[in-house]
Amino acid sequence: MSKKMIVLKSSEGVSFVVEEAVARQSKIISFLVEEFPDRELPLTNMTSEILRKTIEYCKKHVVEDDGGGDSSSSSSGDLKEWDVKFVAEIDQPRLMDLLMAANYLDIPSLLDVTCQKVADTIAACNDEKEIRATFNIENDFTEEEVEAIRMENQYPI
Amino acid sequence: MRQLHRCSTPSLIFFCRYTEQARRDRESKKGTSITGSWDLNIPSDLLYEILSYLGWKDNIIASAVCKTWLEVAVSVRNSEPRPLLFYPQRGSSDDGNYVLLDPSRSATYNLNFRDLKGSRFYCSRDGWLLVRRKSPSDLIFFLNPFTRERVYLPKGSCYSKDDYCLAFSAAPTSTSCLVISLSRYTRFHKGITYSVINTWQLGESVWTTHHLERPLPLNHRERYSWDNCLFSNGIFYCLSPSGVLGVFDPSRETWNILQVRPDLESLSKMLMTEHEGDIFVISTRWGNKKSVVFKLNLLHKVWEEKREVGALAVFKKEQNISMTYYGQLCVYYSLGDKKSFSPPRNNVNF
Repeated sequence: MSKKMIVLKSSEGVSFVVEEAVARQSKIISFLVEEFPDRELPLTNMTSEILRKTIEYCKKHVVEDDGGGDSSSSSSGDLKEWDVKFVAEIDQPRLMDLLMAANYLDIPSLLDVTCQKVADTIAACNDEKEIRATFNIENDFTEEEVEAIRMENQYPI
Repeated sequence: MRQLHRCSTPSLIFFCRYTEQARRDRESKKGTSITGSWDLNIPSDLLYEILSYLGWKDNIIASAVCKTWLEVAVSVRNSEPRPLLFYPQRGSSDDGNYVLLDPSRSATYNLNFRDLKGSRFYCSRDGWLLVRRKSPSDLIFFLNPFTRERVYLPKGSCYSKDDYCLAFSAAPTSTSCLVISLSRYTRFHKGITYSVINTWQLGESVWTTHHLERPLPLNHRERYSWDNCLFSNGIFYCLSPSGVLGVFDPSRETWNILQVRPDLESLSKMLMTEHEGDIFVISTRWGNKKSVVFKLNLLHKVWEEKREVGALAVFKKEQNISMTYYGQLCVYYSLGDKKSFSPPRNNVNF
């Protein structure tokens, strides 16, 4: 039996033909597929690059209904390892894009790994200055305000 | 995991939040930053999601990044309080070294309270500990280990050498804060048995003493020496080592023994704790290392044995360790049995 395929279109107009089971990991796509069968779904704000990454993740995580020794079904330990490697290879701006994509497409497991990765990056910073530098965030506090936050939360180290 | 941005309409319009403008902003910023950039348009609930993965210390550091982060980090701290264990550092409690352990993040923080040497921690609630320090002067006070703030309790009969159980209803920052002390041993006078309960309401300068007659036959007296006590829904509960449950209602000044089935007498080293208004007793059966958990069903006056406590995590530690209820998930578990000591683990479910 041939698998049902659906078409996802990136912001650049590039079409991606994906197995429905793969795409259905996104709760949004899953919903849209039922509402609009046989239509290609334009994801107008996802670049081809991010869409490709998202599909790569979904392909790895798809749970095959028909079981068997399919290459895409992996043990949970392997999957976790794969996830770690998957997010480790992505640079900071693209990681944020992927996190946003996971959020909007409603793919909880992808949102989980990307949030964890961003949080790990934050945690790896020694202080707030390093966080600002890493994520290019403007400091809108005065020196006194930062001092007040420190005083308020005399965290023991 | 919390679901974000559920789409309720069959539309693709929701993608517009992920705007081209945001992309262009980011692209243009890329020139100035080699290491990456934060999307300015990142919704605060997504930032919330990210910051909720951080440990306590990192959360505080993150709150100093910018105003948006401060707001989100504080809301993470307030809405997702986590249980923390507070205990003297092994072998050096005399130096006043304490450990604050965040079991959910496997993180520890060392704190020094030099003047707490030899102190006893009675109970904890909402991040506050009730502490009794015997020397140099005998003091009972609330301590917030995070802010180091203290609220001293006035002198009263609970300071006498007679041992008292202590419990409090709410943080001393709350106007409803009520402290109760119950004399550990039942007294006898002219053939009447009574218990002595002292109450102190926040803001008052003295304790109020209640001598409450206990409507129970004398031959049971050896069974009553109060041990475990707590507040739940405004009522003060006290458990004796033999499993007798005493109930004091501060608003009506009534003191009763609640007959609850089955008898918990066969249990050893009981710990009574409260979780979201429910009262649990955790214990081991004599000659059996396996723990048992009972939940009090007040309506039917029965202890329901629980095989599953769900998300309730129980941390075993040696005696004389107190923990703050810095959240709803955790209870302090003291067995006093070195053999059952185990490093805290997450979600030890029964």
